[in-house]
Amino acid sequence: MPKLGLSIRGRKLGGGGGDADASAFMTATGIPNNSTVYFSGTPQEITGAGLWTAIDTLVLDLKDAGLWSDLQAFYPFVGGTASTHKWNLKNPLDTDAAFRLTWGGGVTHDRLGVTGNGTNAYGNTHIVPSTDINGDSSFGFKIGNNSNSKSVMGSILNLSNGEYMYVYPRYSNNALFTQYENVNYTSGSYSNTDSIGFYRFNQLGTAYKALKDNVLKLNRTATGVYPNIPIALFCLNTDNVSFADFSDFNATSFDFFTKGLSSVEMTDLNTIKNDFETALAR
Amino acid sequence: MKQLWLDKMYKISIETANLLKGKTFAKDMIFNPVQDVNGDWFISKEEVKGNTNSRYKDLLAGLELAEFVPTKLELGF
Repeated sequence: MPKLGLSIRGRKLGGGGGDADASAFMTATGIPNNSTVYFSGTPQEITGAGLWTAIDTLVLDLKDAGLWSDLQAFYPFVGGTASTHKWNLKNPLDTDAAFRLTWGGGVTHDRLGVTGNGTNAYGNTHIVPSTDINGDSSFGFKIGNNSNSKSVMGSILNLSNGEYMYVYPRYSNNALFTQYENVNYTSGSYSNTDSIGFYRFNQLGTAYKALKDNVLKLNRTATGVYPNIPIALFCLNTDNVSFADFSDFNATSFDFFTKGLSSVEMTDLNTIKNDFETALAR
Repeated sequence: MKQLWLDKMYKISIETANLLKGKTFAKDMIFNPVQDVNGDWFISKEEVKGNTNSRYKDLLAGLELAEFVPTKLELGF
């Protein structure tokens, strides 16, 4: 098991841009590795070099924890614009195949990450669950505001008799979700009166775990088929025809999609998330 | 408490919706016209305010806000 805390703290004293993967991502964003000031006068004020250091630390922590190689997509949302927020940390190419996000509708991009508007904002991940995350899987996101809203992400093929994958983090004070299930299964759910937190959903075989921060919220068993249409952020992609059930959740930084994780890896990821978000003061 | 399912958006014709759908209104952001429960088409305040595409400036200038009642999926929960 990696000594995450020690490695994270030690590296924060060093300069950024040392890791090749981190450098590739930051180069794609166009954020300069210098004294250019971002978000001046706010609690999130930081230099371009500071952002490079934060991403460098993040990538090295993910590698130390053994999480990097199995990541399919990871969206750190740094820099505060649609153009800096669209990149996949794991594969920062400007293509759908690299899971670069496409932003549509009224998405707000700022120092806190990305925010839906509850009416037509979406991010298309271009991640097709049936082909890109089929098998054991884990995904998650951080929500920074407390809102009673609709779906923060999802993909549904054939609404009446199909394949579902979605998360409603706080819908009438319950978190509702499916990960790998069909219409014959009722959504997993747990009471959730505050949407703020780091949500993770993990599948190993037919065993599912839902965590919020480091609290196990639900264990369940289910089977099904992953949808074969891309996952959308801030809403559901329904039948690849339209988006629906838009939400206004804020700052869903630290969105990730990866293989199924062990309990230790889930805890490590939470530690890495906390350090990364602390470095960015969000 | 915020009213969950009602909001104001800019009402547009179906022709305008077809024209704007998928077009860039700012760097790396595209229009997403949506239909409400009454079949009317809308775009958001953020798209109108954030538009930097001169091609659509005049078109957006004349739009008015109207009540938007979103469709609701029936997911069984």
